[in-house]
Amino acid sequence: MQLNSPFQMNDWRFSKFLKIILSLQFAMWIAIALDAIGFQIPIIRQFIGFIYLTFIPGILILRVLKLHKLGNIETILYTVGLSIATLMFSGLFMNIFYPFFGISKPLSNLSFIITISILVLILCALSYARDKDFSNPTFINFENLLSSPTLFLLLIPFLSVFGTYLFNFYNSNVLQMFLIAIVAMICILIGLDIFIPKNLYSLAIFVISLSLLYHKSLISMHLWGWDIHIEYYFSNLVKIDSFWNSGIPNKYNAMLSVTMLGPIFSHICNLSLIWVFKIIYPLLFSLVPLGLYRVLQKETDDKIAFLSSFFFMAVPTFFSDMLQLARQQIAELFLVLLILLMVDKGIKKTKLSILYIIFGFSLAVSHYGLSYIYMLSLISVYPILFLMKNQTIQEVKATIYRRFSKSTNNDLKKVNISPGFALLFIIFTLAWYIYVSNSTAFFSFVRIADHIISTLFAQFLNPDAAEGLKLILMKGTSPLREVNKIFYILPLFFIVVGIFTSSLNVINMKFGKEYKAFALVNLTLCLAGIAIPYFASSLNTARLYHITLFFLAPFCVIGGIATFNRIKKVFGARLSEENMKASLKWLSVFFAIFLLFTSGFIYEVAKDNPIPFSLDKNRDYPRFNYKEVHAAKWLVDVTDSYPIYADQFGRLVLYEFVFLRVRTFLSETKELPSGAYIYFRSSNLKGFMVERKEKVYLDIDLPNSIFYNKVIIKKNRIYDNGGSKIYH
Amino acid sequence: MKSLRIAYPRSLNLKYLGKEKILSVILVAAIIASSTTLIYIVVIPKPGEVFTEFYLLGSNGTASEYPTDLTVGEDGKVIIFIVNYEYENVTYRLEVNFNGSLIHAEQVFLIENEKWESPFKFKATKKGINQKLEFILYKDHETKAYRTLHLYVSVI
Repeated sequence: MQLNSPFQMNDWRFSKFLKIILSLQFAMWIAIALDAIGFQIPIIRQFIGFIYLTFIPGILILRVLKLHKLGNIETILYTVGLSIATLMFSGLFMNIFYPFFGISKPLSNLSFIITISILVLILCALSYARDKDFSNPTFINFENLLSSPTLFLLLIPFLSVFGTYLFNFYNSNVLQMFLIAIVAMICILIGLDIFIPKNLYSLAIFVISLSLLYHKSLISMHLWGWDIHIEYYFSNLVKIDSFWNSGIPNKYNAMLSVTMLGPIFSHICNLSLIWVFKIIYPLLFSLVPLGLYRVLQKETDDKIAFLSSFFFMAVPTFFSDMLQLARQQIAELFLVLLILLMVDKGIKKTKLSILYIIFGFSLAVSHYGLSYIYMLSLISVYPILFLMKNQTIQEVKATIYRRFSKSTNNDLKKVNISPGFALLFIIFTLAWYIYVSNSTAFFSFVRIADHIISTLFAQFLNPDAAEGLKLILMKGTSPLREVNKIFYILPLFFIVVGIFTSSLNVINMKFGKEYKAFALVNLTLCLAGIAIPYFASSLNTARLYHITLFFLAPFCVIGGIATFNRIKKVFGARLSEENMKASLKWLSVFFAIFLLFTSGFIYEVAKDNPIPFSLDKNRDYPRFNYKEVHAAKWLVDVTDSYPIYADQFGRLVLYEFVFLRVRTFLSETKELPSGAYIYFRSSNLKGFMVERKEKVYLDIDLPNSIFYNKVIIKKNRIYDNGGSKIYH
Repeated sequence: MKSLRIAYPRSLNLKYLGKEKILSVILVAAIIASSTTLIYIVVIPKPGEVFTEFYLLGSNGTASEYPTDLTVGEDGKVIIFIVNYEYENVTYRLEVNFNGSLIHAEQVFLIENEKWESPFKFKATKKGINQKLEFILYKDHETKAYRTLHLYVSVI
């Protein structure tokens, strides 16, 4: 039995397509109306709302642009990207123009519902006018959908959700551990060509991505981590005020990925912002490895693309740090879309330019750090591309290829990324960061650049200043941690080998010029993170490494193949198709073990502390229980403008509610300003606090600290709920 | 009595199914069961942590203007709050000590989610700095204090 592919609705007959769109629009209105009269059907509004916001505007724009036959993955990704961009810029439009028509709360619930509905209807009319005659649907085979590998893969995200449920409420990590083992097993199964066929690699990537993200994001019933609490504060501010104040001098406030997207999903889906950040953002972010897989599938082959994407996901920044950076999650979706456009050679130039501008501008308003890196990459790529065209360099390359490779130069693909776009992106990005939120995002860039330049020569390769080098040289706290370090350093080695062998064309791949140029720039960024003082720490070394993997991940696999082959060559084997396949099998095992390390699976089995907080409920980490959150909310309700003091972790939950009043107390603090409040979280009540010294979080014995004996002992205790206390 | 025979559709008869199809049927069943469980845990969420909130506000109804600087003979006023989030009815015993002497005791019965508030007045009787005014809450006849609050009162 065959069905019209729901992923490529832009290729359906228009009347059928319109019926689905309008049905969803009506379903949305009905769900909202039922909620309004108090007849709430659980999950329905959230489900319809998510589909409506994430797919409808995007798929309509694809029809308006007459973009067809893109393939399942591209259609899904472009649809979601266009929808998210539409939502962010519609919100911005409403915020700027509605007040001129006397609407003082432009971003209210009603305002969003009416505006998005009108927008959908206008897009329907436009797509009818432009694309009513197209009809060439793609079909999916129903039997394939019911095959056991497909069903097996579809079960895995459930394991992730139930695992976190069991962990949150019954303090058992059994299912979490089982999930990690299954995910590692999938990598090996694919490496060994067992059970999962090639056509399901993309599904496997999506399922692994979503499961790894949910197995952490759903930990705790509240937000955990660092930046996400501030993102919540600014997102909630927009939701409460129904207005975005672009003048607030904070770089988080300049990001529409937080200030617009969060409130829109929260209003339309009738879902609290906490769950928007915990469920919807990771779901959107889970498309990033899928996009990367598709990019690499075009540039390499299925197996290398799978292993590269798997490696990208197994680096813990993906499923740990990124979950506490909502704005970067959205920005990375746009980055992968820009890379996808770069390697997509089937879209006509005008349409390609339109997509480039939409995704480029969306990236700029989503995250400053990633935008600066992309901007830097764009600026650096053009000289490399220019050099690649140079006659002398071409001749040298040809000589090298003749020496090392049987194949000829294959950089024949046309260049997709225009200097015009690069210029437009740079101008828009800088203009946005200068004019919004009092230039805070721009000044932070200037400050970081100034700091790096002023210390470049004085502290070059100084481990105290170069965070990347410090991490490499840091000694592991146990033998297992030392082994783990090898598992981190080996991929770096593979990447360098991979770039080198690809440059010499020893292993023949289909990389285009642009991809190679971006890879070179990103390798430089990665190495700069190791050697240049304050470069990596400005963003965070792990995050910088993660970003460079968008371009470097395939070279890790290629370098791995080359290394395994080199080892075999020592034993007399020759570089052949068979040996390449065998190398991929070994690499799949390597990456599976790598995941077992990075996820904490091995440490939990060996009981080698510290174990990641997602597997160990006793580990102190910025995750907060009901009582701690309740106390923080109480402070907002009953206190005035005095500052509120908390320890390094406690301050984070307070950021969500009273960002501007939060201060940090230290173990050596002797005095606080009059009228200040002190917030104690559960760990403080158990007798210890967390302090950050030289970028390391330390547990300090609170009752024996100067702070406790000089300050707390004299304070009035005005609130106690058993898990949190407040002093005044 | 005739034995009851159920005529299974051919597609559900295990004899006619290959291993692959049996696995698929099991996996489909697992997905249906998982989806149902997921809907259940979303629709009927597990109750959160149980606790009692115990706090003091100043006479203006905010967390400020506590009576910490008084003169001899002056009355100090605070508002005491107890909120029951224990997911059950609870009888509390509230005791107030001033300088180690019991100056007030009462029982408070609260049903689930009920909030109790009561203005409380005390008199500063003798001079001294940092005299401890302690509010102790006991739960259900327990002898160990369940929640404690305190103010340091200076009397001149």
